[in-house]
Amino acid sequence: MHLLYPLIVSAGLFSIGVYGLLARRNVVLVLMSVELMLAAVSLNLVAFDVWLADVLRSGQVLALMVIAIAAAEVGLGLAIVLQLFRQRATSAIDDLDTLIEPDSQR
Amino acid sequence: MTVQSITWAPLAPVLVLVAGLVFVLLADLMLPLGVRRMVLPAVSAVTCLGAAGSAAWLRGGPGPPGTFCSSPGSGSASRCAYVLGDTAGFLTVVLCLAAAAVLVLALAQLRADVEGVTPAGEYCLVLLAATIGAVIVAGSRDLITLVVGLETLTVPLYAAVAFRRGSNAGPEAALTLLVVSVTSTALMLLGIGFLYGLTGTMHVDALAEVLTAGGGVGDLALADVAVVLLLAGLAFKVGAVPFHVWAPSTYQGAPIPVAAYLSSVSKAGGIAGLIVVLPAVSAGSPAAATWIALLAAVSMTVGNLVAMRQRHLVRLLAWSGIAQTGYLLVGLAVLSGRSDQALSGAGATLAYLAVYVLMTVGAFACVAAINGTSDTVATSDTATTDTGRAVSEGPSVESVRGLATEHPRIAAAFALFLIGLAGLPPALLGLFGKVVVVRAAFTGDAGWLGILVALNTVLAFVYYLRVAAALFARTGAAKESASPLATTLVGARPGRSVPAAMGVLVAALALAALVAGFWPDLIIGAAPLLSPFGE
Amino acid sequence: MSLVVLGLPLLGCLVLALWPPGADLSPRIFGTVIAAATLLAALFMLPGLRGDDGGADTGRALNPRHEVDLPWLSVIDVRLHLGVDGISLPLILLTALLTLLGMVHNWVERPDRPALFCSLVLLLEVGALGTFMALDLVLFFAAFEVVLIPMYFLISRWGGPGAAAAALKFAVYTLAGSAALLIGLVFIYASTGSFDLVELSERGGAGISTAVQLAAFGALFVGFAVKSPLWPLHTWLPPAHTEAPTVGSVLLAGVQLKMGTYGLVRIALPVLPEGARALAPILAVLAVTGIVVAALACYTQNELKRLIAYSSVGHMGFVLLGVSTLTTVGINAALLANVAHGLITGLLFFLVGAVKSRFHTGELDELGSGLWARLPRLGFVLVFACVASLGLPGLAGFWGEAMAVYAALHPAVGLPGPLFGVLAVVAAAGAVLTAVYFLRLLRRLVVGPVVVGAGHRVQGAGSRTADIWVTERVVHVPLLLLTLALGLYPAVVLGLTEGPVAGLVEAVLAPSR
Repeated sequence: MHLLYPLIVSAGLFSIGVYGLLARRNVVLVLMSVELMLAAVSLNLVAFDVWLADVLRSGQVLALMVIAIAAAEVGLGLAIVLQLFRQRATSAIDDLDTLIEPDSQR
Repeated sequence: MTVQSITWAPLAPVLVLVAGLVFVLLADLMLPLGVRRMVLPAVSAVTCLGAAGSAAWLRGGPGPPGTFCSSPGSGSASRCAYVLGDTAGFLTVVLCLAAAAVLVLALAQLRADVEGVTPAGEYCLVLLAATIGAVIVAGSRDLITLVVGLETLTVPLYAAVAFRRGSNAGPEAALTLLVVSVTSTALMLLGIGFLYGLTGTMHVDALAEVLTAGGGVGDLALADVAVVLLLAGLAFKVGAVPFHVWAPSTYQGAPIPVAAYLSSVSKAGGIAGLIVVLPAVSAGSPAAATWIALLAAVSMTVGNLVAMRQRHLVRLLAWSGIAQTGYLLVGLAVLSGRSDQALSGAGATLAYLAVYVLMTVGAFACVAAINGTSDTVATSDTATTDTGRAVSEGPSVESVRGLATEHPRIAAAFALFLIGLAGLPPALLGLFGKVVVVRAAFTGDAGWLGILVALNTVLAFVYYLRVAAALFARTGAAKESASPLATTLVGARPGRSVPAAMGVLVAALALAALVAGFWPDLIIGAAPLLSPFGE
Repeated sequence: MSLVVLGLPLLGCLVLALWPPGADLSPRIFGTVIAAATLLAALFMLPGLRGDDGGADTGRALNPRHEVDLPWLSVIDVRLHLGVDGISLPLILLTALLTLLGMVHNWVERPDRPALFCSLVLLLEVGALGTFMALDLVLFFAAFEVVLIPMYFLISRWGGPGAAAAALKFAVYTLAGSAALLIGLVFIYASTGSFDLVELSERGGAGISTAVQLAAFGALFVGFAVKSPLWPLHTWLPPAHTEAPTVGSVLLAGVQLKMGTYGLVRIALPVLPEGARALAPILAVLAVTGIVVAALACYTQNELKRLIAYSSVGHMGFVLLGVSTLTTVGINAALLANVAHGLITGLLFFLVGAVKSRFHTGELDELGSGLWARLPRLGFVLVFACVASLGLPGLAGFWGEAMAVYAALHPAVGLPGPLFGVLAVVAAAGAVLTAVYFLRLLRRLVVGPVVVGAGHRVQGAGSRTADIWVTERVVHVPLLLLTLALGLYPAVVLGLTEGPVAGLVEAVLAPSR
């Protein structure tokens, strides 16, 4: 398989993730988009690793690390969303305005 | 297949921190609440001090500084993933000492938290875990280790920021931090992926070699893109403009010790990452120097200009921290430049980092001392305006007016730290830090950055002086005229006494700042890579 | 010995900062003792000025005595390098004397929170002494900056009603000048690799290209011009003086203003001679403009402190004119005028403080006239001080102004002679204008029939109890005597400055280089 196929898939996934991150109002969907971005990056790394036939397998090692990191982040992220939801009864990211710059317009 | 050999000695700081972390985890399960609140933070602080001590002792000591090394073969040198060299040792000492100071702040906060609203064990655990991440970043020579360290530094802080129970601000700040942080991680990993694909290696030294090899991979446009992505991820961590948007909100929503941690250890970890990565990466991408210089210039200016408008103390310190990031990046801009004084740019950044960390932890400690116990008080102190938006509680510039009459020493120490951040005597240490940075700029052919630093010092002085002057203002008519509503909103100052732990910490930091001002070799002289001109 | 002179007030400042609040008499006594000890130590430095080579100063651009040279921030070549010579010692003595008199003044007008007040005054002294003794550029800069914060707090906390704004303007203006100063200093370092003043003076600009010299001198010029103050960067001075407490005004005028001109002579001239030669005409023009503008502004002033503030701008104009001629006569004139201005204007501000504390106002409209009849002793000293300030021969002010004008008629070779000639004439006219406004002041306030002005109350009006007290006399008399002595025998100061200035001009500013 040519290197280009997984790279294009990865680029596509990353772009979908970026779109989701910027366009979605629901916090959980934002977290999902971020997960998508991290998955795209992992695909990227593994593809390069196989293409380079790296002796140290650096790409695959980093991909494994990324999986672990993503899991930790999303675990904490959902816990924070849960606490936020309990307090504010909203999961829309636009409604979080307590900490924006004072005197600024929304 | 040979199993990689591990040299345990250079890992001593990390091991000490891990041992402390495990102890805290177990003790949290076994100790009763009252004892827990005091013992756990104390033990954590001692652990950090121990880690700092071990790093100082190892630095320049016998034995190989590297660990997790690949076996040398086929003519190439042995590449180690974690090296506790001069720079890493210095950074580890600074990071651990700052973490210890923050843990003392946490101790004071937990002691005052009588109802046990904030979980003591998790609090200390999270801060220790983040410190481990920072220490790993400082010593990493390998992009994988760097990423792991950076994430270990960031992820526990999501929890730490959210620890402000009973207030709306905590989880919101944590969510801001989370979303921005994960995005930047993804971008950084994309950049690392491309770099890996181009060069075939993750090790920083090997990267430098491949990128500088003439006519090769370093000339591709993809290399520039990868470098920009990588730097963007790290720039988020240090809070450079335009990657700074998370900082003021997160600092304001977090408990004050966590805000102190973010502005000292977390930022220092980002700088450490940049120091690891920049020499190698800028070899292939000469534009890196320009990017960093631009980041520095814009951070300084925007940070200072917006800080002038701030009324909330923690937010003001957050924006001033963004400006200080600009000063820190000046040295790194020189580092990636082409002049023969390049390396001393890193030395200037390291020296200024030590000065900055001391002053900023001191400033936050004073804010915490002033704020007293209102951090852990459960909720009803959040008033709302008629539009339904919660007015942020906490210390403001108005609320510290005339502090000198009640707490003269805290006020004097706070003024000292603010003036140190501004870079003026009598906090001579701050002045020397600024001189070192300006000197690096001029000797590194980036004179315009030096001029910008000097001009920004004047800008910053306006708001630092405003706070310092308010501390010593004569009280009397001003206080009576404030409406009762204003006093509740603005945060009434609590009782007469400042918690003992905080008082001792503030005194120790102020003393260190004063002594190091008269004997600057103590701190600035310890920074590696600084060399007298012409060497 | 240099370390003693610098260390004593520093120690005093730190001790006073930790003094328990609420004590009233003891901090003032302690402050006075420290200031007296510092003056004594400074006097002890006089004999050592001869040095090992029997006082031969010529040939070397900078020949320091009582040298202290310790490594300080070795990683960037900064050393704790202190030393005195004939140029700096008069200013050091002036600083120590004015600080001591300021401390004594605390018995005349008790400040609240005296421990903090005395601590800030001593910190100010440390900064000034450090500036005059520093022989390392970064040390000079650090000491130059030290005076900012204490003066800010002295003005804003113990000052008049508009103090906060005046203090902020002073602080930001001065800091902006210092930023320019820092840029210039590091620029010099980047071209030469050294921060050491002795070494840089020996070099005399060798190895620094003309363009760099011009740029660096320009930056230093801006920094020192704000401090001096040089027209048009002087606008921070009148509000600061008006709102400051008496001791603050005295130290501002008598000590801080000297730092700017001293910096020009000590650093900018020897290290960057080509830059100096290029920009000297501009300096001269601005200085003389300042003399005239200040005199005209004084003529319209109705508030005592503002009037004296503007007169300071005029006096410093003469000093800067002397410096700009780049000759031995000119620089000696500048240094002498510096010392004279410190003494006379210090005395003037003490007197104005006395007037203000008696009448609670400084406005001429409200003070009435005929002060000599009502308070004869105070009136006499006021007349003496005003007359000295306008440059009456026989008193200190005359020599500096006359020599500066003379030097402007014979500027250094390479400077535009005709321009300087015109400027000399204008400066002389400015001196006449100075006389005009001071005489106007005297006529309005001191001599003439007694008219009790509106809005004041003199305790025991007309009686001698409101006249000068013993303590005030202790403050005024030394300044009086020194002004007279300097006027009759200027060799007191010129004897000290002549040698080093000759060495400076010969080694560095002579155009044969």
